[in-house]
Amino acid sequence: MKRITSILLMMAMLLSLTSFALAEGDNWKVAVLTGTVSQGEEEFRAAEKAVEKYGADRIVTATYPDQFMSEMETTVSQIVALASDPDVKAIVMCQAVPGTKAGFEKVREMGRDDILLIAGVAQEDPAAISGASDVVLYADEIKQGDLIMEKLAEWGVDVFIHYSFPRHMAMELIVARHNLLKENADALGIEMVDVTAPDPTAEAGLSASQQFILEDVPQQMKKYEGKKVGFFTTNCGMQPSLQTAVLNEPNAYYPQPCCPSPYHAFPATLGLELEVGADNEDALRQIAAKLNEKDAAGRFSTWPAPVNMVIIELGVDYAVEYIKSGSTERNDSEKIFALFEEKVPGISVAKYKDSEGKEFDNYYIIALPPVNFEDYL
Amino acid sequence: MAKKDIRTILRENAVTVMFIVLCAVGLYFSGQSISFVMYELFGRISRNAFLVLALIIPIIAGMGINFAVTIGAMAAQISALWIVEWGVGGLGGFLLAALMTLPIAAVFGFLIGKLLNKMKGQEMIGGLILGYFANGLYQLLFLFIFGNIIPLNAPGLVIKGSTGVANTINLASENGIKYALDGMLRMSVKDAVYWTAGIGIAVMLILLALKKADRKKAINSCIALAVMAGLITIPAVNELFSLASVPTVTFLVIFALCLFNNALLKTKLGQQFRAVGQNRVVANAAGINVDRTRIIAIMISTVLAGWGQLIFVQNMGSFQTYGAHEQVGLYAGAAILVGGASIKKATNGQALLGTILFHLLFIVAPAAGKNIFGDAAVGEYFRVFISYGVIALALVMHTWRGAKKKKDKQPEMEKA
Amino acid sequence: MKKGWRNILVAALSILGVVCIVIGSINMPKRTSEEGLEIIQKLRVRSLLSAVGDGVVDSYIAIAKKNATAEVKAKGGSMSDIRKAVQDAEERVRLEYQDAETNYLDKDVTDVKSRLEEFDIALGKYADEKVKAEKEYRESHMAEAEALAEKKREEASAQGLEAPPEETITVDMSGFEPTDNMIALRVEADEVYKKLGLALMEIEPQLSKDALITLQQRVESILYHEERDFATLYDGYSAFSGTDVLDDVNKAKLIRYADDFITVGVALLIAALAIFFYESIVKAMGVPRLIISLFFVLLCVGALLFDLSLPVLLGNTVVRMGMNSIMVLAMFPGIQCGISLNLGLPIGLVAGLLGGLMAIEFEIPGIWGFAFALASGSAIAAVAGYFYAKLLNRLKGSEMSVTTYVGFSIVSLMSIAWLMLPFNSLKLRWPLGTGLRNTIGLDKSNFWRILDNFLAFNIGDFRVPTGLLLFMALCCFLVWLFSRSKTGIAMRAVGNNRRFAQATGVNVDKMRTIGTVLSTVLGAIGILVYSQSYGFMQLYTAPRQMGFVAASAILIGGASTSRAKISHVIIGTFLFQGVLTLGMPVANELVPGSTISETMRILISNGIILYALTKSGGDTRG
Repeated sequence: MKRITSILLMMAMLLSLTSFALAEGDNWKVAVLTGTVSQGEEEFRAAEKAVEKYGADRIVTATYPDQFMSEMETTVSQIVALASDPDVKAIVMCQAVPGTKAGFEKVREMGRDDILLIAGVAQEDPAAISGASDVVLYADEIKQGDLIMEKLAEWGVDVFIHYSFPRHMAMELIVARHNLLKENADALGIEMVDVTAPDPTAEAGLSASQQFILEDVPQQMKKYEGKKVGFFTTNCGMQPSLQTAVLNEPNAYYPQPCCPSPYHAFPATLGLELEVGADNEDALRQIAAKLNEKDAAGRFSTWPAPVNMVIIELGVDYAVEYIKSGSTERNDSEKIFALFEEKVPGISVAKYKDSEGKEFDNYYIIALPPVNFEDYL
Repeated sequence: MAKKDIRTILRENAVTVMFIVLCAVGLYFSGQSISFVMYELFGRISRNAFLVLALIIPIIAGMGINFAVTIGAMAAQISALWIVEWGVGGLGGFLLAALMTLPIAAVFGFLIGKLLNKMKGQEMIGGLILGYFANGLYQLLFLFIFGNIIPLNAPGLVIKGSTGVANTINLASENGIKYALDGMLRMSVKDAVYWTAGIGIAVMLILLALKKADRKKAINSCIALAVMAGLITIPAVNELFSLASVPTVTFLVIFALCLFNNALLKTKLGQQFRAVGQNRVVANAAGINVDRTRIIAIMISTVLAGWGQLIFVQNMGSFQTYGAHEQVGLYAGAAILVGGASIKKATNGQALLGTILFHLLFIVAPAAGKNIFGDAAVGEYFRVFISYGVIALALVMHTWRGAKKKKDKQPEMEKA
Repeated sequence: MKKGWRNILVAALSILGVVCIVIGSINMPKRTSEEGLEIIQKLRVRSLLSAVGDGVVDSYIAIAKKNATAEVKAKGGSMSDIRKAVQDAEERVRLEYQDAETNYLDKDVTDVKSRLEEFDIALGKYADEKVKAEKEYRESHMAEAEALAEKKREEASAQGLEAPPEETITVDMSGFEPTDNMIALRVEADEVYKKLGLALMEIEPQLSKDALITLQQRVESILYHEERDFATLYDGYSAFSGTDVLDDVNKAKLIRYADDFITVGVALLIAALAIFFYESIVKAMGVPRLIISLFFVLLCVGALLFDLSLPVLLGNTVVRMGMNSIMVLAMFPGIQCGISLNLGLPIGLVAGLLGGLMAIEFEIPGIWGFAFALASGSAIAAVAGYFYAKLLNRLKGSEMSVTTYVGFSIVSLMSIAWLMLPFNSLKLRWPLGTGLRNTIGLDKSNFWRILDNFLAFNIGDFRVPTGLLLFMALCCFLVWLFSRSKTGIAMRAVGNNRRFAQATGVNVDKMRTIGTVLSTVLGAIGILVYSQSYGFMQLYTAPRQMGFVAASAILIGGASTSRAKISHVIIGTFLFQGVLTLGMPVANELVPGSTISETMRILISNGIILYALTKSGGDTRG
């Protein structure tokens, strides 16, 4: 009886709140779904920038959960919630964390075929996500296999150490990058060493992985005494540790963070007092100055612009143009190529091909030339 | 049944009322339409209710919130992988997966039960470490055995050049099991309510005729069902459920599980569960094999959790190979606690109510938080704060009420 | 196990161990004797020859590769073009020299051998001189560097800034130039190399003068090892050219692995001891601790067998123990006062972080900043802990599930706070937008490694973080002292049996409050100690899981949810962190190049802990 009473009570509550979100009209909106600042603030700020550019009545922002691995359902409902607003004509999601595919499919099932779905930095496997989205945008992880090696060769590095762990080595793009790195290392005569780090999701958490990096880098430097050693890790949480450790070893080199950007871990490691809202150029200059204090400007590199921010900016612009033009072509390659070129001159954009050579028509990957910090001194 | 005034009812259902108020406030601030909320809610219930119900038996057997659900979920994912490999899709595939899950999960459950019996009093740390250990085994299986030692041939299961099974397993392909269960007999809420009311009233009447049901109870139920059917006929009410639709078969399966739980608890085994749960020493003295009973409880729960996970993934249409099982335990446990279960007592009703309330809050909270604070990130943190805070508060209130009941005779023992 | 069998087993293990140690100790001195030197010499000549032999081809390939790379780069080709060009170049060169294999075993190498020795000596002289000269340069320029640092400090204080604290002064080595002595020795070495080259050309007809010049660096890098001990040299040479040049490989191997024999011998003796004194050890530690300790010893043995630097690894373990110990200690008063494991530890952690943030915000440098952080963090933690205790007093008996959710909830609440709190220091704020950063780097201007480096000294490679250990000892001692006080005893009585304590007139709620507040304050201190050692303060979701790690450690140390001792804290932290610290490097050596090592590590270390727990027989020893 009690339960029935409470259920009836609940129904009564719902009744009293009959739907009021019945706005109609030719209003269009673009929804931007990003992580919170604790996941990576670049995406979040990019969403804020989009609001600034198009106005709060045009851009709806929302965030997926911090614990996105364990709250996949919440991610799905966030996507569905955005799609339940009839004005929303496009959803830009970056990063497209696990659950995006399911969420996008549910949007289609709701009958919202009119919504343009853009997934940035997709974490689900390419075949799965490209089928569910209209456009997928990602940093060209595989090409990084070339860019990292070029940088290392330029530095004259003898040994290259690649930190990862089993879970990551099952991800298509990380594996492809790793394999290309290996091929290149063989070609250039660089010794590439795979070192396994503790998985941050294992019993002692991220702190054990961070501590491992801090301890292992000096050991590796001792092992390869007198040689120049390059370091790379596939995990975001380990970047501050790796940067610190490399900074303290005069023969260690750091070609790029896992998600190349001037803002990735550099501010924390170097204690940068960046002005709020600073531009990329200025950030790079500050990083270079700090690195130079430790004689490390010639040992570090990264990409000159935060890729994830570029992806969101471009995604929103593309969506707005798509809506305004009333076009029916959801995956307009020419326009995407042109927009990228306009945003970041010198950027290279390609369509993703998997290891069997299958090209994904709506999966775009972008790459930027790594910076030379000595140029910013 | 003694007459109660509203205040007593409110106090006895304080957690429920608090949740309803919170959900209502959240709904108001979220600006979401009720039809959307209902759509989401039905989806979430169909996905999660089975998992939450799987927790009941070990609670009654005194084993606390069963983390075996995580391991049951692993068993389900192993089966799902092979279904995809063999290309058996649709309902057949789903049933085959369920069939495969049965022995795998039973064996896992048996081993966990054995292990837990050896560390009575240390279940807490044992459970934590066991979770990590099981995860290690799972990784060993999926990264180094499947796809390497045991070859997999289905497209998309193994990435060329990588070490094991791909990160995402897609069930939505042509031969997948997406909606294998949910897609059957899907009907609108209105129809579903009519059917429920019709069948419910019919059953009640038959029971009444056979004199197997309490007269007053039966009449009350009939009235409630009729009221529901009446309500749904009102267009305004029906409008609220316009987006939602009912996956009838899934709901029937959930209902079947409720019946199973009840029936099981009435058998001799069920009595043993209860006895062991209440006091191990007494149960032992009464000649019950405590260890065996506990193992059986865990086995049942693990198998049920495996099926629950299958229901979950057939709705989602894909799962993360290396993370999907981790999410299961935490929220299922939270939901049943919110529903009013303690770590010693749990009923079907509490499990279902908990599922509804918990997920209702999770649906409205993100948007509400964002709208209240005007900042999406703050909104997200606020949601997590509220969600966990409310769970904590619910537990506090349940414990408090439990303590109050004991001290019923001592009036106004106010402290702090 | 029967007593008799056990004694036989002990005897067998001991004998085996002693034999191993004896073999090891007999062979160990041989490393520096004539015998060892001869082995090394033989290997060295062989390495040199194969270096020159393969080396000719290899060096031609290397040159071809380099040219190919440069060519493609000049044309602006991409990495894939380089890959292709390099491959082509290598194939071409290999084809060219296909038939150029020489069998060195038949050749007369006496001449080369003596020349090589000369060259080795000359090279050694030069290297020694270089080290000496660099040292002199550093010493003579120390004063200059100090003056420079002093000047910087003065400049800073002239501008009204806080003087940066003492830094280790480094001498700029860019001005270093080779001394005359060095140059002379270098020339001498080069002369000897030329002679060596002539000797080599006699055996290796393909060798041209140019090739010799390109090979010089390579030869030097093969010959010269900074660490000149037997094992390094043996491994280096035999990896390069194999050991088939040796007459008696087994003998050489015996000498090479003499240290491993000693290690294994010692391990066997430890095992024998453990079996012999099984009862008394079990009584003192309990079975789980014994199993985990033995696993730890096994890892140490593994580290030695793989020639990992055990002192460094143990040093790391000690640091990790120190940085985590206070957080584990925070579990102790919680268990004693009866709230069981305090999974609401994040309350204390965020309070500590808040204290640390304030110290940076107000720019209080060095030890005072750390002291301020500790004081303010503790104060906040005490207040928060008080209210938390009030809450817990209402739900006696089901704390554990509630505290977990309270902890999660607080972390999210504080995430909002991190976004909104009015901190202004640019070191703390996001580069873009508002709010505090996710990860805040500490540096020498605040409390970076302030405890770790306090009075720290080295014993060989083993670094002793004196300050950290002292602080840990101090905290443990104070908590222990408190637990012995009248209040402490009353508190423990509450934890052991609430009703009984109440009956004897103890104010249960008050005791629980004291315990909870103490636990929360220790959490605040713990995160600061952790942060100063790690070098970063991590906000937002980072404190979420830390309570579980601390709880695991104390439980592994032997505590139960209702009883704990200080020794559980220390043993638990050491074993938990030790297995972690040693586990990964050893696993990496065990299965190099495959990520299966991490899976193995997870399985083995958690499996051992799990097995150990099942041996506790349903109860732990007090």
